[in-house]
Amino acid sequence: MFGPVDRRRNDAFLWQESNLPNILEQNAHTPDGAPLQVYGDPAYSINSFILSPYQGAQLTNDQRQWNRSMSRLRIVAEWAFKEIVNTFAFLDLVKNQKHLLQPVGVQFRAAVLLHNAHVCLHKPQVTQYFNIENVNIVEGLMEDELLEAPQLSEYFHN
Amino acid sequence: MKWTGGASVLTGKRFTQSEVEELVEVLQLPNPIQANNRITEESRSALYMLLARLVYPNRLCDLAIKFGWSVEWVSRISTETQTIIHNRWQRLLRWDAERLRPEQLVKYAQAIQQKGAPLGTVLGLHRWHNSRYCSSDLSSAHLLQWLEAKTLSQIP
Repeated sequence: MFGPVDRRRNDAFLWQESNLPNILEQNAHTPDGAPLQVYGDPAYSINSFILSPYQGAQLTNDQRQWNRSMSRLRIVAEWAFKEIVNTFAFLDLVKNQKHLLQPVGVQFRAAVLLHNAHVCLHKPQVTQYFNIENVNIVEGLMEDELLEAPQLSEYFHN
Repeated sequence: MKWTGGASVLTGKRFTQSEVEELVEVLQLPNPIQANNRITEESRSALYMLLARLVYPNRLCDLAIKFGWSVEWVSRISTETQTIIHNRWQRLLRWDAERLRPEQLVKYAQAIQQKGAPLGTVLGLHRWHNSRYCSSDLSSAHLLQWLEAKTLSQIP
């Protein structure tokens, strides 16, 4: 997680400022070195480590289908923020977030850490979404192991 | 001062009493927690206070009545507790190369493909989130922007 950045800024600026391009370049690859990508906002161009939806008024059926398929998955990222503010509704009330009077960035990050603790203790929505019954998601690995959140002590101390 | 009320009431049913006890341990909160104006509070009560403050947009005076503490006490202790948690554990919000090894990333990419992605190389999703805040005199609202990149490992 990166932030906060004060006021609305250019997407490309935020993307570079987050250092995520460098992190992905160093870490997002298969054991044999092939790049893996994250999928996100249409504001970014695509490269070896980032993918975004097709844009334009005249998309082909295949391109529309691609956008639809990925959009259904991208909702998971939406849920993550939604779950944080659902768990800690204080963060969603503007009048409680007083800039220069309260450390709003510290407060948000501390709440995310406590939300992560909550995820470790309770079954989260993302697991339920990806938990397809009778489908062995990855050969050699039970889906529970893949999708299960770590134990609380494991998350904080491993 | 010691809070003896129901845990689930205070934390809006997010955490049970035993879960809060476990959290105090794993977060390694100092006991007692001392605010910068020398107000001190037992770590468990301080964590209850912070959780009660975060789970719902309570006013400080409402929490003060609920806990039987002064408004200043509520404010100082909850702020100090969140600062301790933030400073000690904020590293967990960064990319964890130990946990997100290439073998694990491949499994996430395969799981995402089986859920309907046209490609088998998408390891996660990222999203900007705008949170709003106001100036200290409540006269104007502004935006804070956050970026989150998420794999299927559940943890933002």
